Amino acid sequence: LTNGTHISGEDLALHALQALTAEESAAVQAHVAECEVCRAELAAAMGDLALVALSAKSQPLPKGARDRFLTRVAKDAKQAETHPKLAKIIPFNPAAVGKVSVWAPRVAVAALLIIAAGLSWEVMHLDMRLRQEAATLRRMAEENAKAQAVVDALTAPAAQRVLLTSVKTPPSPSGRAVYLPSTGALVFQGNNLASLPADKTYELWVIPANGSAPIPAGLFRPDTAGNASVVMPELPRGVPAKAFGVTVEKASGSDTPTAPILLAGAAPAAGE
Amino acid sequence: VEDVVLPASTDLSAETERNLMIEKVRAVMKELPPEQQRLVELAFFEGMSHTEIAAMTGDALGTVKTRIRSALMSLRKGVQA
Repeated sequence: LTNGTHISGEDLALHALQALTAEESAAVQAHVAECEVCRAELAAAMGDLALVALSAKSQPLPKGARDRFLTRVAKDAKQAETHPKLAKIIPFNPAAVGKVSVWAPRVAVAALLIIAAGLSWEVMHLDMRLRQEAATLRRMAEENAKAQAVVDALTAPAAQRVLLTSVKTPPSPSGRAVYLPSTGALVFQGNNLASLPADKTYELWVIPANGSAPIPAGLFRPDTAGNASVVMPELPRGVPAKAFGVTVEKASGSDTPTAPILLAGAAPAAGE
Repeated sequence: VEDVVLPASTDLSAETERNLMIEKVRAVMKELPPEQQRLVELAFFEGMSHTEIAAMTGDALGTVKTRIRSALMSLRKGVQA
């Protein structure tokens, strides 16, 4: 029966069908008790048989069978009430017992397999719904956390509020950055910005107070009214800013700012 | 007057899904090669052992095993598709 170290799929299927001899079944049973791989394959075969059971066509009851059955049940119940302590002696008939013993387990197994298939189907359905609900919940939590971070950055006493203006006159383009160094939260709003050719973009920079290289803080293009904003770009936490700047870069952005700096603003110390 | 929700005696959703599954299984069974269908019926519904089936059909024991296994695998794939 064994195929190397495992039992072949054919024999496992026959075992599930109870179509092996007693000796073969015992050997399979002993192996399956120790082997996880074969146990999984046997479970899959049992699942297949549950499907086979579903293919059985139901037959309508003969006319009057239901009434005869209910009458018989009622009659037996009445007899049981009148002779509650008398146990009925059933004569032993080996032939009849043999027939029943052949069919009864198979019918019971088929019924159990049908129930198992139904339950598996329902569990799968519920599991799918649970995953969908969990995904929705996770998405809502993320959105809520982001909104909360925006509110915190705008209202925190420690936030650095900077007004960025053009380094040249006339001072029409301007920008305002609100930055919370402890969380890296940054909200920038620009106004009166000139439109750019398609291959160019504005880029916002955080100039760290410790003198390290400027950190790119997001690309943006103004709308037709010259307004633009950068909300919550990905920034490292705990980097106090000395200043903020805006440059014009190529459309894909740049790792280092390209002169000239169009807008710049020095950051006051946190909480000022 | 209060609104009262009465429990349904049957779960229509589950019942419908079960009926769909039965339809699918029957369709897949119908598509199996006739000799595979016959062997599954003999083994499952008539409770015959593989040696009894081999003796009755005249097929080799290995052929009986392979056909039953193939039928079950086709059924599994067909239902999962």
